[in-house]
Amino acid sequence: MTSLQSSSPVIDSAPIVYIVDDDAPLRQSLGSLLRSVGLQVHLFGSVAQFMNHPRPDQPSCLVLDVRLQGTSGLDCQRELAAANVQLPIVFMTGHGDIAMTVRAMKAGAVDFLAKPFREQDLLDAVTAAHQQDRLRRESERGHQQVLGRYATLTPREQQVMALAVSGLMNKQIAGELGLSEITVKIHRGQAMRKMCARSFADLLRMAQVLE
Amino acid sequence: MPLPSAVLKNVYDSLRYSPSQSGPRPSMGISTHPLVNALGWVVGLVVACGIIIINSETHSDLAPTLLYITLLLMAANLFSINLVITVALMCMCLLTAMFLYNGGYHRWESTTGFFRCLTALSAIAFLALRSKQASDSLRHNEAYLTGAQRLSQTGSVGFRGDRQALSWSEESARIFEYPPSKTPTVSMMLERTHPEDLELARGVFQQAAAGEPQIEVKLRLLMPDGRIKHIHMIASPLLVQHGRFQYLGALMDITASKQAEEALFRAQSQLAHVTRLTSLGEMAASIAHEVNQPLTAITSSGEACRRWLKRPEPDLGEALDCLDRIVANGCRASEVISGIRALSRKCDPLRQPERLDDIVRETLNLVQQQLAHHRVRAKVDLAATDSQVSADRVQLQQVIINLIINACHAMDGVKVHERTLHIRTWTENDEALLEVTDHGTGIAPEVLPSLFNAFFTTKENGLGMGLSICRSIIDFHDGRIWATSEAGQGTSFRFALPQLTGTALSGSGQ
Repeated sequence: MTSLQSSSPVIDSAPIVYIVDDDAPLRQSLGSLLRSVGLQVHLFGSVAQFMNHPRPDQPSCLVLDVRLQGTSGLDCQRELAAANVQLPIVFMTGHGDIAMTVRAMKAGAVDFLAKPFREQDLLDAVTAAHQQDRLRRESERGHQQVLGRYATLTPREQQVMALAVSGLMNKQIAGELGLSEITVKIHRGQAMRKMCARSFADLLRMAQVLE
Repeated sequence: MPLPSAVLKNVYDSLRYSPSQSGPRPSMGISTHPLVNALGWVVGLVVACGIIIINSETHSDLAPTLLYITLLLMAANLFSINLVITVALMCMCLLTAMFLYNGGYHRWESTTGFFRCLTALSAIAFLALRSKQASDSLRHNEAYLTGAQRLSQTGSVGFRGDRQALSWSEESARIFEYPPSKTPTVSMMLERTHPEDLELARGVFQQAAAGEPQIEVKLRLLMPDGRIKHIHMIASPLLVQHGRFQYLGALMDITASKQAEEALFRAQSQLAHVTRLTSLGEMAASIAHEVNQPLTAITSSGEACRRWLKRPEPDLGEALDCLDRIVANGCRASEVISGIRALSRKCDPLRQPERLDDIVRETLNLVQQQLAHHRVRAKVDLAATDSQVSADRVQLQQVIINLIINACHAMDGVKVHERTLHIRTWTENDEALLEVTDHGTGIAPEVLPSLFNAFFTTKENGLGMGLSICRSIIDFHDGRIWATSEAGQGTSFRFALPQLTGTALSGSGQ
């Protein structure tokens, strides 16, 4: 493991960059560059080393060389997708062709850099990748929250909520479920409160997330 | 039975078997021509009527026999052998029947007369059948011969040194694209010969006049529509007639194989070019990769170093690490370059004392095909006989081949008879020199200095490496290479190599 823990003043919560390149001097240089802008950097010589390394749950991205000994960069991208690991990838290559670039970008790569690249291009690509990961995490977190709240609803409240967001009026819901209109109103208010919905529109949005 | 000779010839021509007449011949017809057919039947009817009239009017057997013989001979000429046999038997039966009907057997003279006539008729029928058989087999053989000539695209031709009595087969006429019925003449042959090969064609007749035991020539024909045919003729004397040699020649149409040969040559040179370009491209890609790695490391370390130093509290340790990496990767890049140089020196040239003239002679053998392809005549004048140079034979050959091929390319634009290549060697001031002169359009004076630079080319798809490699080889041999050119006159490339003296010779021999 050639993971190089940062000795410089880097905050632990800083975004993480994983660099996989089989050229040691090159990955050290890149590591130094990224650490100098305050990022956490982990260096790997091969895809296998990277795969075995634990990944903390915080915004991160992968800077990956296409041509590697053993598993290639593109194969690594495929493996991660298969394992449902959503990690933004910035590719770099010594001599890339159009087909390779298209393949990588189609599979969701953030950027594709040809060596030698300008440092700013790498920094920009890494920033964009972190931003993407952060957004994904936020939306995922929101999703988890809504799911958690929904689980606290009683079955009757869930029923009422489902019918309400489908556009039925209280009277209609009451008819549908064989309840009095008052009871429906209570269940509906209860559901709104438990879901922390400030308005009906808010509840509607959450219902969409649940779908 | 008088028939116009033209009609007879017509009948004869139509009877001759030719493979192009693919349709079956009518079994009871004379020819496919309806007019000739009708005429034949009319003549037959007239003869038959004559026989009947004469038989009813006279009792002499002589007159009908004559008519029977006429009928028989006509049938032998016109019909198939089975029909001729039938006609002969019919004639004999008729003759006998008339003899019996007329009661000729009562008189002694008419009986002997009948037997005389019958004998004559059978004898003539026998002879007619024999000649019919002979002519049939002759016709059969002729059809085979014509068919074989057509299949092998080989015609035969008979000629004499005095350019008289020329004859040729149908296939030869087809090769020259004249109608087969036309009588061939020498001027007809020369008319279709390519103007550039006229000398060769005339040479054939000169050789025939001299009585050469074998004449072989390859030349081109130019058809009126501009097509070019390649033919190959081999001839040898068949018999001596009036003190002159009568030659029989086989004339082969080798256009197809010649074209295939040329296509192969073109494909080979294109392949060689593509291979060169591909390997160059691959080499460039791998060099680029090897060099790009350290370059990327250097630039990112440089940037990182700047950022470490620009921090509010500069991190000198990290900055120094970056500088170390920059230096290390700089060294690494230069190692890659020297690795490539070492690779290119992998096959170390082997220098030995060699005679320059020998190398030139050997090289000329290698470029014969190229010279022939460009239709270039080489004038060789080797006068550096005894001088030896310390040289890598293969490398020097590479230089000479390159110069010769360049010269050939330079003369592609000039007329064929002006495409002369002059190759000469001589010694001067302890140096052995070689000169390759073409008669092309020449090189502009402003281009001349950059001629030996790498990647400089005037050719549409050239690499611009040839002359640059030539110069590095000559440099390696401690020699000089230069070019002089006069616009419109051609270009001379020369190289000079130091001559080995006696002591140097013995020194390098150890």
